[in-house]
Amino acid sequence: MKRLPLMLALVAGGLMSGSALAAGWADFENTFPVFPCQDGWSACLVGGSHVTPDLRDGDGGMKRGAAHRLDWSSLDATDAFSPFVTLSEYTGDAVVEAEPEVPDEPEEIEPPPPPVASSGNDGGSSGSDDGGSYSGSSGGTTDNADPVEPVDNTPPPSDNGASMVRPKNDTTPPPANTGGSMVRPSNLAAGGNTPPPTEAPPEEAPPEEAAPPVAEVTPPTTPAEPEGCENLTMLEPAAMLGRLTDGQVACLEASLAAADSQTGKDKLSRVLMANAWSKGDKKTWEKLVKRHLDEIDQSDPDICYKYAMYLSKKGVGRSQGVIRWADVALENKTRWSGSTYTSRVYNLYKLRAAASQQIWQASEQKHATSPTDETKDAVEKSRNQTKVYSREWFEYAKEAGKDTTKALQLCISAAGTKDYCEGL
Amino acid sequence: MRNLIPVLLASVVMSSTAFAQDDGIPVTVQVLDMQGEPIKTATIRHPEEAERHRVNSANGEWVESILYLQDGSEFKFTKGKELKLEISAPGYINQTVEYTVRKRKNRIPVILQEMEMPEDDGELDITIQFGRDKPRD
Repeated sequence: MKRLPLMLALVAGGLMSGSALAAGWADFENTFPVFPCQDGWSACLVGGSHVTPDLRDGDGGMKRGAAHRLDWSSLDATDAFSPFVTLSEYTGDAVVEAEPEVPDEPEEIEPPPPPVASSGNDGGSSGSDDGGSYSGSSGGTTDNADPVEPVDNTPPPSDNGASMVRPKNDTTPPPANTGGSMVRPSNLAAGGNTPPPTEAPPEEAPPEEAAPPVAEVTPPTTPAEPEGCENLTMLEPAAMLGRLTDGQVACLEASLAAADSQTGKDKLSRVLMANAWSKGDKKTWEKLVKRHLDEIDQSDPDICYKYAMYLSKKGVGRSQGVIRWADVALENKTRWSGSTYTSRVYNLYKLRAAASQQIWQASEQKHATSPTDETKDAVEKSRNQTKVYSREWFEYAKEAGKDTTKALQLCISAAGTKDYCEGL
Repeated sequence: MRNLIPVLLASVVMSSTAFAQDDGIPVTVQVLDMQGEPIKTATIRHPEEAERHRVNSANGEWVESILYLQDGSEFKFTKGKELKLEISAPGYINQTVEYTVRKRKNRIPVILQEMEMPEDDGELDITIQFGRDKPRD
């Protein structure tokens, strides 16, 4: 019986020691985050003021911890109050974009010494920071005076003049920087012995993506352009704006020359054509389209149609080309539908008839100037062609419910009789 | 001798008149554009005729007194005859003229109206799609 109190005391002592171990600093991480910056960085810019691990001047002159989200006396939100819950994504581009808009050299924050925190806690605030359902990133978009207002989910402006400093020995891709100056201790980035967040991130939280490590502290002066041309999807936006660089165009041309499959050539050629057209370089565009149609593929009626339309504005010298590519487009007209089908087929018939009329006119002019048997044959041939094409145009216009006046006029002009045109 | 000269003159005049009557009365058609310039590529044709007749490329005129129709018959231009002609030129709207042949001064000016093609629908800016792999079914 004398042993019973002793055993009870031992059991109680064991339980208490277990409780003490369980209540480590990490367990209170959500309440008392180690790092002051809301997205896990140890220093940042919020609303234009630096937030670092140092003590801050609170309301009433009292010092407060940098990580405190609320002031003790006024209960106002501090700089470290965060609507943000996840690590912001780091990319060098954000800094580069911010660069031209900042009149002065952005102030860099020297990397502070690694925060002295109890083991197992460093960096633990990332991803599990308080902030509830707010989302976004640091960078001065939050107003300290009104911290409880939800912040828009749109990316914040990058004109807060921030630059980014990272320890050079840190090769781990950092999270994105959308604004503020950030310093992150290497052990935080490396993961260390940080326990994983206990709460699941909100749905709108962007997933962390591996970004290339930043070797230089100073951001590059020119925007980084993608090297090479392997990823055509990446080049398409630039091509649509006509902004492919000469190097990219050369790379695409080289790839096209080396491509084995017609499909591969087709893709490359389309990017090149789009770039030339958007750039306004019609001469190059014409060459590229001609090459595409002659050597790669003729099955896209859109390209044939556009090319025929383009050539039709170039005078009688290109009329044979108009007829040729209008014919090819009409061969694949079934790839269109609805009103697109109707209007394009009508236009193609019209283009073809008008082009043949131009040829006929030129033949007549030539024959009138210096008549020979050859010119006479050319006149007859072109007139007959005009007769046939204008009749087809007339018939389609009639079927499609479009105006037939011009088509009939042209047909009668070439045929000389209304009977032929109306199929009587 | 004095009596012989008038007789010869009379016979010459009568014979020439007879020849003219055989060939028909010449009719001149001049084809002009809206600016009054001759259209040198114009052609003229009778509806029952197979062949087209080109105007003179210098002045846009065509002169004829007889036509040979498809059935092999002759169509001579004589006084009071109704004449129907189709005038065409590439780039111009056809015109048909009807004319009654007079004894003399048969000159028909024809003005052709230029043919205007309908405006394009402005579809030159259609977007050409980028190449995409078609998803497998």
